[in-house]
Amino acid sequence: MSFVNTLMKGEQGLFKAESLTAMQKFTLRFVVVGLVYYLFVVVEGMIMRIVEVEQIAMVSQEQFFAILTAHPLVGIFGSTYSIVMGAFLFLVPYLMKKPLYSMKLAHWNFFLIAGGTLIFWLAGFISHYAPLYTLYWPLPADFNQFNPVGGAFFILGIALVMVGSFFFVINIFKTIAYTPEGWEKQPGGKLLGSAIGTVGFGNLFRKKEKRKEHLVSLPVAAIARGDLWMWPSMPGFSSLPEY
Amino acid sequence: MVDSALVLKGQTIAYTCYTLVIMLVMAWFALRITKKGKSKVKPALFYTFIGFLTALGVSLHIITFNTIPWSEMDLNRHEITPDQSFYIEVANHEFLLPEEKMVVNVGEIVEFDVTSKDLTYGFGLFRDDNTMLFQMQVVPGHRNDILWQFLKPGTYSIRSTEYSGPKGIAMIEENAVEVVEP
Repeated sequence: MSFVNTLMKGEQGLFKAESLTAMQKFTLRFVVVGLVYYLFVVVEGMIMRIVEVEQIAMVSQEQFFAILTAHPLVGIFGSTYSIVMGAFLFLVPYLMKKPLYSMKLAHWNFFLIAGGTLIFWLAGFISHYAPLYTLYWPLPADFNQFNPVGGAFFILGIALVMVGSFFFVINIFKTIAYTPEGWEKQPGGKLLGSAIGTVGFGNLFRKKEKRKEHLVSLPVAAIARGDLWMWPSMPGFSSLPEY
Repeated sequence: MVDSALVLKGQTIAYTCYTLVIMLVMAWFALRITKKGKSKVKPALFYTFIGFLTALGVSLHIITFNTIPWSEMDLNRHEITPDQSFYIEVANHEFLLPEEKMVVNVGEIVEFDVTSKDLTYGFGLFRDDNTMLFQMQVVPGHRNDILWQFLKPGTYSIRSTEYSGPKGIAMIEENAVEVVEP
């Protein structure tokens, strides 16, 4: 029990969950879930490597391709997205020195990413739905090979992750631009311009003495610019041109 | 037409050198700007380097474009009449090949016209050592054809190079195309 005790309460009981702020709690939640999904993909990766070297009885060919399909998505969305989102939702308000725009949106963000990943992973595990991650038409709708119910749940899981990612992007940009209640009005448009780089781009064409000052710090600008590409790079969107 | 294996080797060497140069200069740049005191890299030098890399990268693409074996034939295909045409159907994870074996003389230009009845497949020709000679996508509802000039005698296998579900991995037709001296 000492391992479980250390895991839950930290070395020498130094981790005190009740002392954490709401922000720290949800950041930790994102990180823990991200690490659990990381464990999933590590085990899946090892299973696939074993099967590629030698076929084993416990993993059928259909199961192998189902793992191959879910594996990168669980790794990208369940693990990497969770950890990165948790970190950025904490970091942006910290660097901007103002509260997060919406804790409610952050909680929905968490449950949609964690839940969506679990749904599409389970759909693959149970029904062996395996069109691989590009959702390359018309393979995802080939119901001679795949169970339509499994496919529907798989797509549902991906859709939930997309909605969760959308909430994240909204939360980050609103946090950069909004004025917290009772505060002096903040220049939302200019803050956004600085974050997505229009100010910096404009400065390239301005004389040295006329260059505008950056209103957000470099890490916030980097996070904002990265977020611009987060949603369009989702599997549903990235595979659209192929249809 | 240049052999695709030779092109692959040449491009591997060229792009590896290109990448190594980028990595080395980035390492130099990182070292200089992280040293104590004011940055020792002039912005003009940095942007000149980025400009040089861009010019070099684009030039590499332009130069190597002409070494891609099928590009010339693809660009001039409206002027080319193939010596032979083979019509192949793909359905239900199976290649339906012509009844007679596909035999080609060295130097002949051959058209492979492949139609899919259901899913997106790949159509790839592979050498005996399992390296790929060429491949194309076979998309249902579209015409998918490729012209190819065979320069060496040999036998080639057909494989689907596009994932089409677990059943797709068995889509291999051994020794389907034979290239002989005329």
